[in-house]
Amino acid sequence: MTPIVSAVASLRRRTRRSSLGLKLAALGGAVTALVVWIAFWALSVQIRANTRDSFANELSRNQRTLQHLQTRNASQLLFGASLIAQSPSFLYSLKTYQVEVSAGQRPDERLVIEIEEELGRLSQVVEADLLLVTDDSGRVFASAGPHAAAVPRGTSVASLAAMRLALDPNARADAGGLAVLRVGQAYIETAVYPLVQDGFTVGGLLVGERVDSAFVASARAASDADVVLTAGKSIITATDRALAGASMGALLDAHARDSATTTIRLAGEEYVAAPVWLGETQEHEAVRLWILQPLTRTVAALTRPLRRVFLLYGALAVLVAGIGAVFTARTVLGPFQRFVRYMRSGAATEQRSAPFEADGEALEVRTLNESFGQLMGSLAGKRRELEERTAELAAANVVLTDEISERIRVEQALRESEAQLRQSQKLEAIGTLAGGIAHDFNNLITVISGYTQLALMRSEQNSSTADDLQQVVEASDRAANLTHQLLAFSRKQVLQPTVLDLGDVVKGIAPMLRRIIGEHIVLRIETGASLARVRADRGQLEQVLLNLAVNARDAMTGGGTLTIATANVFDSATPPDADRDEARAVSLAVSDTGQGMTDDVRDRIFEPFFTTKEAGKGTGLGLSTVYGIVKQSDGTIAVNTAPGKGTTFTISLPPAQTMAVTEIAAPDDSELPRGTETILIVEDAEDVRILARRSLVERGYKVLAARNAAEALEIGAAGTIDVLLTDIVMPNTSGPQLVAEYVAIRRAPIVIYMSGYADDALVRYELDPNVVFLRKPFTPAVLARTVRAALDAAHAGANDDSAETGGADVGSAAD
Amino acid sequence: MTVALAVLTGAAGRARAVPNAAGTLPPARPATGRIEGTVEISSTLAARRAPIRIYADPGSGSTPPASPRDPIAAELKNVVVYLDGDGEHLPASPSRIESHRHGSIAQRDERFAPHVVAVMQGGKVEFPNEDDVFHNVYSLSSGSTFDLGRYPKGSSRAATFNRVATVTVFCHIHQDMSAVVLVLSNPFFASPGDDHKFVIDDVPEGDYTVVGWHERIKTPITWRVHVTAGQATVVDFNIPLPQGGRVPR
Repeated sequence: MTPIVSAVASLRRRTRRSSLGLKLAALGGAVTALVVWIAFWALSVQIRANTRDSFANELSRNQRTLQHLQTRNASQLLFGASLIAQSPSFLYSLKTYQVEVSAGQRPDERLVIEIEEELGRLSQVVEADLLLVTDDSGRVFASAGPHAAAVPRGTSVASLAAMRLALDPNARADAGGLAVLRVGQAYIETAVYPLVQDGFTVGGLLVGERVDSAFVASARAASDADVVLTAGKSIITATDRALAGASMGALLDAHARDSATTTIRLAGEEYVAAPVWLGETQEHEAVRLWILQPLTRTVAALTRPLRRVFLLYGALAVLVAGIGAVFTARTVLGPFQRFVRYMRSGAATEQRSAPFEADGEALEVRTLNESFGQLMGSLAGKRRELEERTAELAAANVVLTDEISERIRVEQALRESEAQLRQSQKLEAIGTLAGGIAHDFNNLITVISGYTQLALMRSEQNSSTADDLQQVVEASDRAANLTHQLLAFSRKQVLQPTVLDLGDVVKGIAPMLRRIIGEHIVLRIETGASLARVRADRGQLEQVLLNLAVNARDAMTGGGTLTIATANVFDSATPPDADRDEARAVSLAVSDTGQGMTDDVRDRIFEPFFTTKEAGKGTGLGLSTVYGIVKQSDGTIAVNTAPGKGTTFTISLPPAQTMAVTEIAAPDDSELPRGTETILIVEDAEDVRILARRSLVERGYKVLAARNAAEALEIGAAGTIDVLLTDIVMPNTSGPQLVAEYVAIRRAPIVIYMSGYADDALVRYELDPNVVFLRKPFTPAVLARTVRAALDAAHAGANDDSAETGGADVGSAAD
Repeated sequence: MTVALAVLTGAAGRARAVPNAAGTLPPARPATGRIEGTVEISSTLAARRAPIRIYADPGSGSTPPASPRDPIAAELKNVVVYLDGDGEHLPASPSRIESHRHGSIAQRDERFAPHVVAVMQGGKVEFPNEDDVFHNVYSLSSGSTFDLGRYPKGSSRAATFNRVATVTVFCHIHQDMSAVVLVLSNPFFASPGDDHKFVIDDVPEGDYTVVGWHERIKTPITWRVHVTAGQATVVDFNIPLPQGGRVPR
């Protein structure tokens, strides 16, 4: 299979690739052959049609003749029957028989014999093949003739249409007709006629002639054609022996009734046929005579010589057409081949070296040449266009690439700032929690510490009690320190910022740092000259440096270098030699050469109580405190670290806006001041209230106490007070509100606020920044000094100018 | 028409006994009753086919005799209702017997008239020729074969029927002519009049088979009745069966 397929494919390929000239020749030959064949075929069809028509005409004529003969024959038969039917023997015998039956008698057999004898005589005379007399119900009464034995008495022939008509009492007395009676294997064409006496039917008469081969032969003689006799679908007899065995099949059904000629297929050959109707049997089979003319044989005989002629002349025509096509191809294709050669040479050099000389060529070639020229021109233009477009695309691509990388960079930055935001939000939440706890602890520690100190004052020096109380005081201090750290982290401690030089702070604490980090670590201080000033709480900054230094020490167990550097930070656009006033920030960098941190650790270092140190060695609050202090000072803190690469904390603080510098004098513990003025304490926490009251009473003051604002106003209304010492955050009415209401009814006293929170309490309650503020927890000594200082300042201010309010700009919280 | 209805019901007859209307029937003999009733007849029995003639009639022209105007009424006269049984079981008065032993069938207009005559056994039937042409009277019937020969107008011949039989009579010259002589064993028979009614008087008390006959029915119609003295027994006949074996639809 495969070799054949491949051979066909290769042939097809070769055909497609073969030259046009060859194709034209082959096509010319093929078309001519086709035309010749079609002509022959059309002629054959025409011959066949003509033959058929001719046969049909001839058969039609013969059919009419035969039909005519048949009609005559039948009418003779019928006429004979009508004559016989008048025989009195039949009529009287049948009538008598009938009447005897009607009377219930047994009819005389002589009557039957009489009829049979009469029939016998008649059959001799008329030479009928069959004579029958039936009673009035169509049963055979008597019979005569050669086929009489096959039709015994009592046989019913009532199913014959002609018989039914003959016996019909409503039909004419001469009603009857022709039928074909099948008697055994014989078919007998029969005339049927009624036997009527005095208008009443007494029986029927049948006179028949056998339809046999002699009958067919006479039909053949009359028509000069093959004759076939059929009954239903079967052939009874035929003139041609081959036809006798054939079956007419379904074709008979299709042409059962029409008398027109038709083409039928019999014994493998086609015939033109015409039927002649003979009649219908008692089984309702149609009996017909067919005259036939052999179509196939005749057409073949006519076509055979024609085919020889066509083959001969057809071959000749094909040859001539092929040669003609070859010449035509040469004439037509020559100029084109020359042009193709020219184009091929042009394609090889990719340009038109010289124009094709087409002047002497045919019109088609000239047109082709012009079109080719236009095409080449257009092609060159397109190529230029393409190059320009390519360059544009390349440029656009560069722009696009830049945009994409920019976008990637921006997205990266966005992701980082998002991460930072999340981190700060987390720390904020933790701070709020820690601040709340620390506030409550502060109150407790104030009480513990306060009472212990009071007890210590009264106890004997160097007694064991004093030692114990001293331990309590120290523990309280540590606890207070812890709460301070927590508050620092949560940015809820009270700062006492001043404008200061970071370099000074670093230098000031450096000796202490050296002691803490030990001798195996080198401390390097790099403080830049002319640093911008910052506004910050000096103590807190020292705390920050201390915490960072401790952490650095713990990270450099094997020794290393701790570097503390300060510098002005300028915007990138600012020239490096700019004045310090233009600094955007001041940086404080603390670097170690220690083990560094992983990213996971780095992300959590500012969380309170997160520590990588052994249990008991660290509180986990050091860096939290640092973070809180820096944030509260409006600064930022950044960590740069990697495992094994050391760690650098960089703190940036904004430069201070004013040059004013007020340093707080260090408190003098030596002697606690005393006084006699009237002081009103307003504090909802009872223990704090009692402690404060007791501390001040011991210093000689007249002290009044109120649990809330309402009580305070009641007491205030009763008499003059000099100092109003009030908590800021209280149920129902806040400290500042109380002050406002108090001022409305009485002369304004000196107001000292106290609070554990307080940094943003100043903002929240819109306090005058100049008011005196006492940070919880406080010691009795601090309380005493603060009250005294406020009173003294107020007196001084009152002497200097006419101060309207009790607000005093004492040094403790001066701006 | 009653004919159609009767055909539909298919009833061959109907018999019932009704009390004799007082005074209407003077008792001839004390022990006799009467059988009376009506006869209906099918139109198909009376339908006549349009005749054709091959031979011209010798004599009076070539036109065949016209069909009766009312075929059913004509056919009624051809019905005979009789009692089945011989004379010994059916005693009758001599006068009745005598009166039922005579009959006459004329040849008129190429027909036998009447077409049917019933006579008691031993009766004699006259065949007078009233036509201008010769007629012949003869019979093929079993037991009563006779041929009275041809005779002209004005003459008459007679035949005596000694055997109980149904004798069909033909004219050899005119094949359409036929007559039937019904020879019965007793004098108790009658034919219906134009009003369809028939009466058989002086019937001795007893059980009888009443027979309705027509030449073209295949089987005579019979009915069992009881005759009570002094009473009329009603028997109605319907003679539907057509000739030619056509079953009514």
